[in-house]
Amino acid sequence: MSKQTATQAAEQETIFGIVPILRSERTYGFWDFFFVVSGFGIAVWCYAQGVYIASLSHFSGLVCSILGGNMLLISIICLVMIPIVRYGIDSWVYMRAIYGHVGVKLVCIVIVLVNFPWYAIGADIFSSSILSIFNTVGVDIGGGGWRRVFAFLCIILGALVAIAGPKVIAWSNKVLVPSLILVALLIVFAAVSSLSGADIVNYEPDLSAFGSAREAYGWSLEGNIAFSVSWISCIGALPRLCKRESHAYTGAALSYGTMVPLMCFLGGLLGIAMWTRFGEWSDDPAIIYAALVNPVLAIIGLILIAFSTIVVCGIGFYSFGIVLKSILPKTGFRLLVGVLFVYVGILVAWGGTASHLGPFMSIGGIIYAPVCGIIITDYFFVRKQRFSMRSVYRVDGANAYDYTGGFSVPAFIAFFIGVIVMLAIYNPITGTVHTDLFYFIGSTAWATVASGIAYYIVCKIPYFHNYVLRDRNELTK
Amino acid sequence: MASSDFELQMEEEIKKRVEEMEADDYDMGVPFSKQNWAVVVIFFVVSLILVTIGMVWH
Repeated sequence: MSKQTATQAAEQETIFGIVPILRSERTYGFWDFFFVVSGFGIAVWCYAQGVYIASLSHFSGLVCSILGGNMLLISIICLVMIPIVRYGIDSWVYMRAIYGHVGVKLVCIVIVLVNFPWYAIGADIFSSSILSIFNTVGVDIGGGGWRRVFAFLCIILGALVAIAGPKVIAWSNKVLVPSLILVALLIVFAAVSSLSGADIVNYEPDLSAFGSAREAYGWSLEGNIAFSVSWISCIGALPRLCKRESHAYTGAALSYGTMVPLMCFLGGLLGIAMWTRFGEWSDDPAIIYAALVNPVLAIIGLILIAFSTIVVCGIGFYSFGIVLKSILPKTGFRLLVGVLFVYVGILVAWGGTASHLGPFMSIGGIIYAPVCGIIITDYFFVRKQRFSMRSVYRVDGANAYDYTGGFSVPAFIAFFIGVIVMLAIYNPITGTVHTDLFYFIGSTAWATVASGIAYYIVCKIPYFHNYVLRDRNELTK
Repeated sequence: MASSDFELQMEEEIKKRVEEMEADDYDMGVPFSKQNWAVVVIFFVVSLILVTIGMVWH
């Protein structure tokens, strides 16, 4: 595919990603949407998440925390499907009404920055898989430097997949989901064949670093809730293609709130198997496969994981490249992919993303939590499910969402209140818990609720009420 | 395709679509019903119960 053709294809894709989708263009029923979203969600980072959560609780806590902790806010966040489907727009387009035309660009860029470390984790898993394949076949190439070399190879291939354009992305996605399902089946086999049911149910994690099992459970809840709110960054692209609001809501809620947690749970089973048999927690599929299954199955599983991480990286570069192009239309798509590559390359060179998974998720939660709280409050309680498409797109100069220099003051007030509440409860940078509120449902959930309430209260102030709802005279529905 | 052509194409397409959707009153045929809202409540309550059970057991 020529450079011009690939760029044109990306621009066409961006246009399609920005314009409202007409009713006649909707293609997804419930099952279509459910499988596509589940396929995107059940990536290899679920293993890292599952092992992390399993290390913090007993089996009952693992089940309750992973399934309950993920669905708790997902059940509310997925209500954003309603405006996405009803108006046929991406959530980032709708958020122009919330943050202003310039403000939404700032929020979007920050979201991309806190989300992209997941691809550094994917690259780390890729390199570990390749090294383990070499070891399994008896070829010793050492570790250290080669680990980073292979990680860079993963993100280079991912960037090339993204630049190759939507056809390559579509083909890659078609083989990705079956690959991940095969990986999941291998995981179950590896875990179940190496342990008895009693071993799994009765495992005892080492909680000596915590004051109590209750305290450790609080950390596991925070880990799951912070993980669940991170989906807000990419939740809004696909539902526009759904024929019904209910299909989009239920499909998304079951995908992000049940399928993905189930994949994390399988990762947790692997972690339990490693802990019970070898006394160590490992979220590295390469180490786990090598320890628990025969070499042939291990190599098959590792090849599938390596392939899936390249494709996931490619989809990530492509999707976020499109997101950035939608807010920076004059910037070339390849340049945007290049910027994302440099960013994740710095993280790969550092090599510490995977070992800082908990703080990384909570740092992301600082940003995701207010975004989630404010978008739900804005659509259902402030705008009463109506907003101006003309001002969102500035059709014929409609400017209700230009606010103050392109920024909505109430939205950013509420955003920073959410951040302050989060940091007042728990500082993920220092790892300091400031109040026992953290051990109920973590800090991310409290920040989500606080930012939503703050936004509602600020919008009740008469000046800000008129400021936010200046779109009322443009409404046709 | 130059960036300015790209932006112009996008603006024209958007205006056409917004006007068409306004003419249809943003009607997607099947609105989010009370039964769908009940599903939302069920998802939230069940997850809250699971989280609480975990707290009690610890």
